[in-house]
Amino acid sequence: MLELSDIKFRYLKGEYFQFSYKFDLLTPVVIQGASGSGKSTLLNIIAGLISPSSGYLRFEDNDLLKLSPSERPLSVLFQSGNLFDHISCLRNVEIGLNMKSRINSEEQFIIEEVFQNLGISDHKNVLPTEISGGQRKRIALARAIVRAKCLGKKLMLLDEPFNGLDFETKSECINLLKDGCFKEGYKVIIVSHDNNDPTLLGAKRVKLENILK
Amino acid sequence: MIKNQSNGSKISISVLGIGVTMVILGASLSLMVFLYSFGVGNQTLDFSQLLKDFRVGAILYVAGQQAFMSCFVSFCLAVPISSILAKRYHWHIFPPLFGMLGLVLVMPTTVAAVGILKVWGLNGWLAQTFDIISFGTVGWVNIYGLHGVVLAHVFFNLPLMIRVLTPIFLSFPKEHIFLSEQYGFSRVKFFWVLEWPAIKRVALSLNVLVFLLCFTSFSLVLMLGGGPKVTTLEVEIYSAIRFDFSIAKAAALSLIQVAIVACVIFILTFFENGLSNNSAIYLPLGNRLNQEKFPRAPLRNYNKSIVISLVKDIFWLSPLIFIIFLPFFAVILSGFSESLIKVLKWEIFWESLKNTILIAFLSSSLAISLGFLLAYSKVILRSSNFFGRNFFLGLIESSILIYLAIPAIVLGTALFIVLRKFADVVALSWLILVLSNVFLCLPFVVRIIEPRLFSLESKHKTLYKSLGLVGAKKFFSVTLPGLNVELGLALGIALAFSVGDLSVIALFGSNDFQTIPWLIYQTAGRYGLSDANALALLLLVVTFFFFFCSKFLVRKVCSISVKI
Repeated sequence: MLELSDIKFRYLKGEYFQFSYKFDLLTPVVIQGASGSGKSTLLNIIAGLISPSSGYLRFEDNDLLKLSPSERPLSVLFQSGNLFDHISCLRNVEIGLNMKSRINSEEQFIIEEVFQNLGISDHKNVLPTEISGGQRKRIALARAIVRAKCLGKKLMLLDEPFNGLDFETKSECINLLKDGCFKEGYKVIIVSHDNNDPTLLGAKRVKLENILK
Repeated sequence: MIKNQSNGSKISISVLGIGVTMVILGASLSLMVFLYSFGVGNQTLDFSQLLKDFRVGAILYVAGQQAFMSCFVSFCLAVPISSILAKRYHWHIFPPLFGMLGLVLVMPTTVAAVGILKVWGLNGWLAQTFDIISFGTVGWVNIYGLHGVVLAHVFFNLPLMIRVLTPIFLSFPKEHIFLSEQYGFSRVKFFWVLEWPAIKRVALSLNVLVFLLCFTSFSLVLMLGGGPKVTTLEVEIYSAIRFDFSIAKAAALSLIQVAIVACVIFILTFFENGLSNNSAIYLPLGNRLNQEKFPRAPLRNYNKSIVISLVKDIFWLSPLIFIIFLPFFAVILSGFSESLIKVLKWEIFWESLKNTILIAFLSSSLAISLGFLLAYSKVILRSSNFFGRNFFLGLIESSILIYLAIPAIVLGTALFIVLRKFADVVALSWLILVLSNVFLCLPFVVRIIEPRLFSLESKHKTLYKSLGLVGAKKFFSVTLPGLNVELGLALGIALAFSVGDLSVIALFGSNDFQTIPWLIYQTAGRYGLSDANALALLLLVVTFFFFFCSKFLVRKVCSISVKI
């Protein structure tokens, strides 16, 4: 259960949002709404990347507002800018795991598996600038999934994860999410513009206007 | 028909640009050949003897030492300060602080030296404060010498480096900052993963540029070096002519300086495509930080107290206060004294001001015209495919950077030796001054104009063709208005640099011909510090007046040009 209660946030330019909603998260949730309506703002607040002026945010037994972004039990995929361009794709995924210099064999296995399932094993040692937009998106998705699996981050926040992917790749990613995340009990909130996504993902559709107060 | 007309004007401009380049390079090369033959032709001195001379080795050592130290200190301070400024960019104080750092870059060196003396000198603010704190038991460090020179160089180079590095740090996508927060990066990890890879791209060019500027420094070393112990080749060249009357020695030292600087530039070109291709290092003068452009999220410290984090940041920013802002305000505060009225009554002040303004206007007009021509030629050559394009681009680039290889004092020496046979050199000193100022300003003018000009030319290429816009019509209705911001800035910088220059004037300055920087140097040297402070304030006002007014002047000219 993710509960947002009277979460208030105002941008410096004056744009104001107030969110209140209870996600049961028994099934994945797809949030839909017009551009600029506050979908990314909502995800950023849940992730702790922007701080609300007041309100209450609880996931399972955790008061999220008291935790720093790295302490929150969640993994995030942004619309863009998910990868550091000057380090290899594999390192981009590894760097999200922990501050240790080496990763253990179990983590290594998970990384290999996710890379293989997403069809990006050949791009492990190249820079993000050397691959296509769709491949970059898959590396970023791999990072979010690996991070959730290895660090036990129960909640995944995915902002437009299939944007820019062709139909075939999108289907592969959806299958990977279904098999690797939904079935294993990870709670997933996805922001998407595509009206077909809730059906394809077998997810609950939530309109942003129902969350906005 | 239109296509032919367009190509014709482009060919004419590039031929003219290449012609000007040939003249600059040819004249510089001839002057160097002349200097060489003059040096070895004179029986009193030969090069092998000079190289063996301990004094030359010592000069090079001292010049290199102070340049290295200035560079090292500036860089070590600039990296954390820029990082903190980028982190705290949402502070209301950020825009004025950043703007002020830009103003320091166009501040005349003589004015800066006066401000530094007022704060760091034996009777300066800090010495007096320290005297009170220590109850007069411990003496203050003498500012004249290595300390003073390094401090003065840091005064100029620290803002330069900050204005290069801060926009780089601010340009990180906000998602990268979010990722670093999500991963829980420590400050050190943040530096190695995000900041260092970005710094690396400009670090070598930036440090070599700063090293060369310090290694060839003249006026600051002359004013704060405190005698022969701390010197540079340029100061020695000046002393050879002005005090030893040994033109042969000056010629030989000039050639050594040219050789060293050319070697450094060549090595840098070999490693990193030279100073010319890394336009980021010229940005500090050109870019105006628009906070809207940088949607970066502020980096927060969740696990630390906000107060501790703030105190730590202010501690790191404190060098800005002591090294830059106190001397800056010292110039303003100490200038307002009885001496200000006294100085305004001096006839020599008004005479010097007239000379300064006249030379600045001539220099900046010539620098803008030449800079525009060379930038346009480069843009045309860059968009063409003809064989030898890169060779001509290299030639133009060399002529733009000539001032780094042949500094003003060397140029002045060479012209002095050549012209003294044919004319009264003292009477022609204004001409030499104008020429040296033009070479000083040229790289900055070209670097500011060229990127925008290239964008204007390439972005609207097809639109020009479809509208039939060519020649003067295109120039006055599109190019000139499109360049109004860049031209204004370039003119402002050229004017500010020319107003404040104290290099060649040190060779030719006399009672009959003076400029304000020379007057400040002479007044300070006669222990008239109060008068020098007043003169420094007046020069600062003149410099900033021209720097700011040029923007409006150019905007007005450009708005009129649209109606032509």
